[in-house]
Amino acid sequence: MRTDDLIALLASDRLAEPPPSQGLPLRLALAVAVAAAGMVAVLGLRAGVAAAATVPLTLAKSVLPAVLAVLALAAALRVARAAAAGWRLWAVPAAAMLLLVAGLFQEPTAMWSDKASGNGTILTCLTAIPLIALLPLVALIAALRRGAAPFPARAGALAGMAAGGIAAAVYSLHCPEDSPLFYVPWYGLAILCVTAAGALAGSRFLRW
Amino acid sequence: MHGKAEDDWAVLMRAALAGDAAAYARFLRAVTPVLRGVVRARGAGLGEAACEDVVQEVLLAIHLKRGTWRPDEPIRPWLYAIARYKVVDAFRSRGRGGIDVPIEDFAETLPAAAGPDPTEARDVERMLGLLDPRTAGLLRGIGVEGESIAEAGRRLGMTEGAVRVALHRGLKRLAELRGRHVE
Repeated sequence: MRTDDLIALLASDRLAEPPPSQGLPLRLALAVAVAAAGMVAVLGLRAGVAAAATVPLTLAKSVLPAVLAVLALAAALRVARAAAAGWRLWAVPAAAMLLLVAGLFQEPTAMWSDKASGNGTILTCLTAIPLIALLPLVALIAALRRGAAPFPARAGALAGMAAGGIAAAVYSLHCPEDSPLFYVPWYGLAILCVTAAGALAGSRFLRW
Repeated sequence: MHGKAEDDWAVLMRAALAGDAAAYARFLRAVTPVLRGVVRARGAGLGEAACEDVVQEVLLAIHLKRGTWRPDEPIRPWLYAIARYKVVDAFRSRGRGGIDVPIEDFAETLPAAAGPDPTEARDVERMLGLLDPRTAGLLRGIGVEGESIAEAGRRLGMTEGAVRVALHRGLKRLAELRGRHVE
C-alpha cells in the first residue's frame, strides 16, 4: 500500500480513542473505595481518628501522601499525552524531608531510634500499603494503556507513585504511629516499592 | 522559523479533530516528508522500502494516538515525541536497537520527498493478509481503490456506522499486528 493510500485510509477514520483521563475518576474512586473498605474491615480505623487530625504532624501523615497522589496522577496523565512530567512532584519529597527534620527536633536524641521503629507496626505498614495500592494501580495502568507514553516505565512509575500515595493516605487512618521519624521513612519505603512495581508494570503493559 | 508551520499544523489538526477529513489528510501529508527525512537519515542501509514501512508505522501511531493531543497545546512537541518513540520502536523491531533519534532531528533534518518509485511499502500489505478477509477488503477498498465509507458499505452490505467501526478496529488491529510481526 502506498503512503498516500494509507493517508487516505487514515483520514476516512473519524473515530478517535478516548484519552486516558476519560472515565478514570469513576474507576479510580471505585478502586480506592474498595481498597479502603478492605482496610477498614481487616485492620480497622485507629482510635480517635478525628482527634488525631487536629495535630499538624499527625495530619501531615495523611495529607502529604494524598498530595503526592494528586501530583503523581497529574504527572502520569501528562506523560501519557507525551508531555513533560513537570517539576511540582519534587515538592513532596522536599516537604517530607522538612517533616523529618521537624520530627527530629520534636524528639530528644535518645528517642530517635525508638520513634523510628514505632510500636511493632513496621511490617503491617510495609504490607498493607502495597496491598491497598494494588487495585488503584491496576485502574491507573489500565487507563494509561490508552495513552502514548514515550517512556512506558516512567509513566508506570508515576502511576505506582500515585497508587502508593493513595494507599499511604488510606493506611494512615489506621496507623497508630504519629512521629514523622516513623512515617516518613516507612511510608516512603512502601510508596517506593509500589513505584517500582508500577515501573515494572509500565515497561510491560504501557508499550504501544 | 517554525512559527508558521506550527500554526499550520495545529490549525489542520484542530480542524481534523473537529471532523474535517480533508484537513486531516493535509496534515498527514505535510508531516510525512519530515518523518521520511528522519527515518532515512537514521535508518540508512535499511533500504527505501523498509524506511517507507517505518514511516507508515509512525503515521498509523500518530493516527491512533491523536486523541492524546490537546488542541490548546503546541503540536510539535507532541508530534515529535510520538514519532520519536515509534521510530526507535520500529528500528528496534527490525534488529536495529540502540539507534538514537534525538528529538532535534525532527526540526533539523531535511524533509524527504517520496522516491521515484511509487513508494510502495510492503508491511501494510503483509499485515492486511493477516487480518480477516472482510476487514482487509474494507481497508483496501477505502485506501487503495479510494472508496468512500458509503461505497464500501454498499459493496460489503454494511451500514455506514458499521463500516466506520470496522475501519477503526481494523486500523487498531493493523497497528497491533505490526508491533508483533515485523521481521
